[in-house]
Amino acid sequence: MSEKKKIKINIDDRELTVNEGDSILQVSIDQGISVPHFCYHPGIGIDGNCRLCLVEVEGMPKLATSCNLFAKDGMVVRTKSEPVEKARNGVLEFFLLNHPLDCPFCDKGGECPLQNFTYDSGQNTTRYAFEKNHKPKHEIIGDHIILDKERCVLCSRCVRFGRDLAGHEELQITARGSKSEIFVPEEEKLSSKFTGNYADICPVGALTTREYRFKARPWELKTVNTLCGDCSLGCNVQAWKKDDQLLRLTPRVESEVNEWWLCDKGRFGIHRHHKEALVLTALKRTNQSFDKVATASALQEIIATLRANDSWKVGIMAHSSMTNEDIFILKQLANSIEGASLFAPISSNVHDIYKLLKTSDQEMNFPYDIENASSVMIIGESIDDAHPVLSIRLRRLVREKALNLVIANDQVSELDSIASEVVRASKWPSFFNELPEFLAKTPIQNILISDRIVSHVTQSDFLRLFDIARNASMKIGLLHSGSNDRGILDQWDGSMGSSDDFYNSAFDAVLYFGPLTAQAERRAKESTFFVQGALALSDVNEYAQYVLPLESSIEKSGTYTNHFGKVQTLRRARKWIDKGLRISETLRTLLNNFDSQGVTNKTAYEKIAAAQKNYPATMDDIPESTKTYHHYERATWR
Amino acid sequence: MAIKIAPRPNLKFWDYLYLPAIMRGLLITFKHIFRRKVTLQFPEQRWIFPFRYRGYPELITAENGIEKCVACKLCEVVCPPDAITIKIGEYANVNVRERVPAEFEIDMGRCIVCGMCEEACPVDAIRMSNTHVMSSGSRDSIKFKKTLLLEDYSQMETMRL
Ligand code: SF4
Ligand code: SF4
Ligand code: SF4
Ligand code: SF4
Ligand code: FES
Repeated sequence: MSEKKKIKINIDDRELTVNEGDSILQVSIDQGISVPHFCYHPGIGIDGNCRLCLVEVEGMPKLATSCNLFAKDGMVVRTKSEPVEKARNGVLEFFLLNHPLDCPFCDKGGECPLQNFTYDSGQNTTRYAFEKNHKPKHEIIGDHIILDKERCVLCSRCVRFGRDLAGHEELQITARGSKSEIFVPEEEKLSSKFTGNYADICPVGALTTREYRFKARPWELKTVNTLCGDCSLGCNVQAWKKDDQLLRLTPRVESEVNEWWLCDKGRFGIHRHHKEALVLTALKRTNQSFDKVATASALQEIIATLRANDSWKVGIMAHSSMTNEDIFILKQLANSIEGASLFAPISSNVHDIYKLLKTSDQEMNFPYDIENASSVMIIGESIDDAHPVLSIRLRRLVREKALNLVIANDQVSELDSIASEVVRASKWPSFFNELPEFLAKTPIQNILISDRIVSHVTQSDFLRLFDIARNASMKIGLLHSGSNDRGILDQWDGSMGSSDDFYNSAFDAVLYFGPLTAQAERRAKESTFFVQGALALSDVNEYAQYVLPLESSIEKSGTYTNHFGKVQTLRRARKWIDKGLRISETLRTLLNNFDSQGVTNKTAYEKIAAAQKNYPATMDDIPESTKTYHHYERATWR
Repeated sequence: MAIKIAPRPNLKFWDYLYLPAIMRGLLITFKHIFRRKVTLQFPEQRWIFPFRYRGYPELITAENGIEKCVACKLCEVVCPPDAITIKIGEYANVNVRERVPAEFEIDMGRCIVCGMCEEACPVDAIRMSNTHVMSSGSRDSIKFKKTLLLEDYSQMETMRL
């Protein structure tokens, strides 16, 4: 890609060096110069319909919309001059002609761009003497979204997001003039996997989420920057809390991971769990039922049992939602207990491929390799289901940069419709036999392989693939199914075993984290002492002697490594499980009883990072985006 | 800073006796016995305040019988001593009203009768009532709930104990 020419422009008497052809509005946003705008969104693109972003340019006879005004050398732009203020005021007056006076009970109130712009540049009276237009105010148009047609300012952000990035033309604008309104053509329901984003991008309270409806006002909320733990992409989120109640997740802007978006699975995942259905205290089995016991005593008894039987063979199975630090502590624990070994919830095949990939130069540098590529092949994954937010990026690239998308999968996925070629692979071994031939015909620059299919293929197939990749300087990325699989794999050394190893050996004592698979249940049944870490009460196995609470990712703090190797910080946003009972603390207590080391998350991370190439040295060094799109900027008057 | 020395009063013998001053005071008292009485036998007798008197806040019911308040929480956030607590609720019929307060509580023990809530309310749902009496034997009994705030509590007969 050719580098863009650097030029100098002047905005509000500030000398700026920008790329030629940058949108003046985007430059202003980046520089913190506030220019009111509705229809432009950095992730959705320019439309130029709202006319609110007017600026004055020296040498131009009239005001220009800054979103589709492109930087030229020597341009002098004014965003606060008198003609601009006057025009802005006029445009806002038009917006407010038919806008209802809903702010007091509108969910957007307090973080509403229309409110803010009116406060800054609008007028506080109306000259309109007629009855306002009335439209339906309460339409449930999806599982998560409510539409209020009166409030809509017809910026068409939602229409363009649905059409261009979510792959569903599920919202449209109909009728003309002041009768124009948003409507939902497809069976009156939103069906994409990204409907929560509509509430983010809508600059007014026309599209709001049902989950957050009337829960609180923005000034009451506190935010925690954390990660979504629903897939291995690790989208950056902001968790909004009122007192101790977690009310909503919104995206943080991170161009290397989720850009501006979140999927519904992750965003509304926090509402999936109910407190009553979770394991929040330690449980002990007496006869056929489980009793709640104090953690300290449960731990004491577990330790005593393990101490008393030091000839036992102990199997510890990690869970893929555990943080890097949890895994580190588990490893130490396995080292300090006589006869204990740690197993990862990952098959040995995946581990082998991962090692192969890591030692080769073919590992993908996400997202830069994909952003600059002309072709991507996806093998064995329905990206739409498994890593939905990644599919938004792919859709954008197909649209903007005419990316060639080749999909080889045994399942139908929504992305198929924009793929330039779809290969229905029903038998993976034979598919991999034919793959070299296919790659010789079709030039491919990037391959994304799902760990789901790795177990169906032999290592020699992969060796051959890597050979081809090396010759064609092709990049390969491995997509994992567990949220921190990559972190576990990074720490995997000779002392750890795979899930296959776990299933194939017998143990006297088993420490198992997560819901049991059928094979694991056999192992657990055969053991004399079985301790389970479980998230939901329904995951608890009847054979468990003790159950320890395993928290969901929203309750954890630590670090996750996403499937492209990016280390990101996780912070505890919900506090349902008492301090001292959380899994990392439980493990630390266990560990300190066998080998007092006094590890904390921080020191654990430093030790992990020392052994890894691409991990920042300390937790404080991990780069983190605190940027959110301007809608969630709250009023700061109190 | 200059120090100013106040001159001492130059008192005579009669002044030192204090008797003339006492007599003057008693004269004023006796004069008032024959004038119209202005004191009330509180709490049995109550003064009817002028309409614009601004006492403790109360909630207003709209013509359709629902409280006017839409639970916007502006009064809650503006209240200087944090006396107001609101829980948002949805009204059963969205065509009539979308949002009402599920709970609305004003801790009259905290309220400083400043009137900020009245000023902040965008729908004129809260206003200052005629009540100035708020004495009670327990703190909890002067935490007024929504139902009481919607009633006219200005002429409440007994004090809340
Ligand atoms: S969209 Fe904004 S301006 Fe319109 S009613 Fe809601 S808060 Fe007020
Ligand atoms: S619903 Fe919101 S995002 Fe969609 S056009 Fe209306 S104002 Fe814009
Ligand atoms: S009058 Fe003042 S102190 Fe009392 S509730 Fe209203 S705002 Fe709060
Ligand atoms: S300001 Fe008015 S409408 Fe808003 S919560 Fe208070 S009383 Fe209700
Ligand atoms: S943002 Fe430029 S016209 Fe809408």
